Parts: sequence; C-alpha cells; structure tokens
Amino acid sequence: MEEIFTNKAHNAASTQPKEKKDKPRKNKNDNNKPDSKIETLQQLGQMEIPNSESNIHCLTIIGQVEGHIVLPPQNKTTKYEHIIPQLVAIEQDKKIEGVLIILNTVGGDVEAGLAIAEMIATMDKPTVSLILGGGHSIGGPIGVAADYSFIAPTASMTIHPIRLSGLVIGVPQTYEYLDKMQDRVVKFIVKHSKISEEKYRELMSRTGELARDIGTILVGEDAVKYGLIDEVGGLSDALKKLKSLIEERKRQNIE
Amino acid sequence: MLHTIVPLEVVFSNKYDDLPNQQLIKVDGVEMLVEPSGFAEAKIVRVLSTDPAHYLNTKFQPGSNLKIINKN
Repeated sequence: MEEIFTNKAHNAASTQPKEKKDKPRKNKNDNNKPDSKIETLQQLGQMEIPNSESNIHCLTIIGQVEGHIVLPPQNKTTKYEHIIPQLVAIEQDKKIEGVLIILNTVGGDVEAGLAIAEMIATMDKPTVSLILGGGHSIGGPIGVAADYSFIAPTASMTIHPIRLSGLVIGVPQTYEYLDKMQDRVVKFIVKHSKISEEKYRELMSRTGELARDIGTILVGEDAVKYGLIDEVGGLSDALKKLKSLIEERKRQNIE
Repeated sequence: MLHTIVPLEVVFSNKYDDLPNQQLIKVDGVEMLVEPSGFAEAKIVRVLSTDPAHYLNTKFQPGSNLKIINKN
C-alpha cells in the first residue's frame, strides 16, 4: 500500500516539475501525513477524500425511532435524545442554512416520533425530507413535517393503525387512549401534507394489503398521488429544492 | 408506545443477549458511538453528527480506532 502511494506521489511530481512556488510546499505537506492517507486507502479503497464545508446539514433517521423505552440491542435505533438537541443546534447555528432529513425508518415510539416531527415542522430554517427505503408507521409524520418532502421511487410508506399490542407501562390500554394517540398522528399528517383526513383514515383501515395488519403500503409515486408526499425524487432533487428554499428565505429576509 | 411495522416479538426478543459495550463520546466536538477494542483503544461504531463534513473526516471513519488518553 505504501509503495503504491509513494509511486503515485513521485509520478505526480515528475510529470509536473515546474510549478508555482507553493507547489513544493504542498508536496511536503502531503509527505508529512502519509499515514492518514494510507489509512483512508485501506478503509475506503480510494485516495482522495474531499474536504468541504457545508451550509446544509443532514439529519438521518434510521431503524427504530427510540423514545421512552430503551430497545434491546438487536434493534438499530435513532434516539430522540440525540436528534432533538441536534435540531436545536442547527436552528441556532448561523452558518447552517438548511437541513436535509433522510428517512429510512420502520417506525418506533409514537411520542418520540411526534416530538421529532414537531421540532422539524416548527423550525425557521428551510427543511427538506427524503424518504429512502422506508418511512413506515411513525416515520410518516416525520416525513411530512419538512417544508417539502421527497420520496425515492422505490421507497415505501406503511400506513396502519397504532396497535393494541403497544407497550404502555402503568397505563390501562383503553380504546379511548389508543384512539387519542391515533388522532395525534393523523392530525399531524393531515396538517402537514395534502392528504385529507378521510382519505388517510381509509388507507389506514384498508384490508387485504398487509399480511398481519390492516392498512396500506404506498410505494414511491403512490405516496405522491395521495398527497402525502410532495414529489418523487432523489438526492439531487432534494438538494436542489433545499437550495432554492434557502435562496427564497434569504430574499425574504432582505425585503 | 410503539408504532412500527416490525412485530413486537422481534423488537423485544431476547435472542440476542450479547450486549455491545458501546459508549457515547465527544471527540473534537463530534459526538460518536464507540466500543472498546484492545488496550486503551476504542473503535468508532457510529458518528452522530448532522454536519456532512464530519463524515468525510478520515479520523472519524467508522471502524477506525481511537486512542484513549487519560488526561489525569
């Protein structure tokens, strides 16, 4: 590995022997830290790691959204005690101009999910969400919370009711309690997307689509068709939209 | 209360009882999840940052080792 590295450096130096004065200094700097470059090579199989400063921060919500209960270690989780302070920091940092929220979640704690969704929805800075893979169950409110939402063509969202088997410690699981919980989720989604409450409830209680449950799976375009998500797209679409929202906000601040 | 597509018996199964000994630490202002790997070393498991630039920092790549220096 080291040989490859030094050969390459040598070649680069020999093909361009006459350069500006700062060139040798640059080479010297490279030679001062070959170790970190070799490490990079070993771990990623590539030489150059670009260094950049970003005015856009990226929040990834993966696996289970973990809230009031610590889940066993086989669950990959995103914890609300990590996400919430990060959102506060992003909102306060003057250098950060927008947030991209990447979702690939199977759902999780209702109140943690709603808390994250409310935080995103009430942020002053432009937010764009992108659902990749899955944005199921309580991932729905988080997905629609952003100013503008994207879903990858292959990503899916499962809309289904909060189950009776949910775990509530010390609270009798009355029908009313579940119903109230459900209302909080439905109201949030209806408020932050273009879907109507009737349509959402209909999708939620549809039979014959899910093997173990009632509900609906919306894949990519379907989620857009029902008005739940704004657009089908990928990373470049989401970034483009976020940049245009940032520009718009700057213009508004000047006026 | 959980609202998830993963069956609750999978979420709460006790099949995997090897608890990873992971800890949350902050290195140069970047929060990360690490687990011990050998003497006074910790392996980075996951970086918890919203700054995309942190993920390009070669020092903080998941899988690489950090030396633990006792400041006392």
